[in-house]
Amino acid sequence: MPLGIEKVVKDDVTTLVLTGDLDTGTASQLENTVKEILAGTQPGIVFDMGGITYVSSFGLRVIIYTSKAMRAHGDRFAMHSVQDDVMEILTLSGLSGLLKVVDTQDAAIASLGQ
Amino acid sequence: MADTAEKSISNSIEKLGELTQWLVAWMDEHAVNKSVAYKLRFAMEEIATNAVYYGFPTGTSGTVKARITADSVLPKYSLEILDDGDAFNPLEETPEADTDSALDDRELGGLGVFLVKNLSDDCHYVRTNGWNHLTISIVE
Repeated sequence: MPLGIEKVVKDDVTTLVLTGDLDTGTASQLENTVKEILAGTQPGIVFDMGGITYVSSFGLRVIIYTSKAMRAHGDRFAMHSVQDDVMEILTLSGLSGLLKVVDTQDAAIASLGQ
Repeated sequence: MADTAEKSISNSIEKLGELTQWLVAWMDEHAVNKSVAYKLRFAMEEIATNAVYYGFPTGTSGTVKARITADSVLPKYSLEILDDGDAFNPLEETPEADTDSALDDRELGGLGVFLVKNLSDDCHYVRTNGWNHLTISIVE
């Protein structure tokens, strides 16, 4: 399934509403979108993962890349609505405790602080 | 009763998607449980991608094959991934994954193979007649 990326900017946070597969073929699309955001002025990024049914190890790499890059922007990166199978991969990778992974968009925004 | 299907591609990055499409279609047809389907796909993409990217000397053409077998009694699925590239055992020769350190210190290599080992109930490697042969089994 192709990757869908819908960009929603509200206040100073860019939310990427993601759908489909974050895999070997599509991970670079997300990486490019994140790079565009980093080149701008928005200091917060949220991934809405509710529509993501599959994440490969390439997908994990983009998530790690984004988290590392956002360290320079006050660590304002969070993810929410992660499906169970994807969560299992994040947990096995030891990433779930290192990233802000929450249940809802509101909780994601709240976790970013100011 | 065992039910087997097989798909071959040439060792090119553009062809990797064909393996995924084939496996996903087969799993849909066989109503494979969603969680097992995720694991089988993750394992196949990881091993096949590594083989195509790193498994062949530059400029040489070769083959990557996947074979899926359903054993309906358990039920259990066995996924075999074969390539005729350089001898390489990903289970032994991939650098150890780093799942404990803080993000800033992480090396990204090895994470995929680490996950394949942990998602499967059994995985083993043999080299026979010039082929790398990795088998992953998952019990539903």
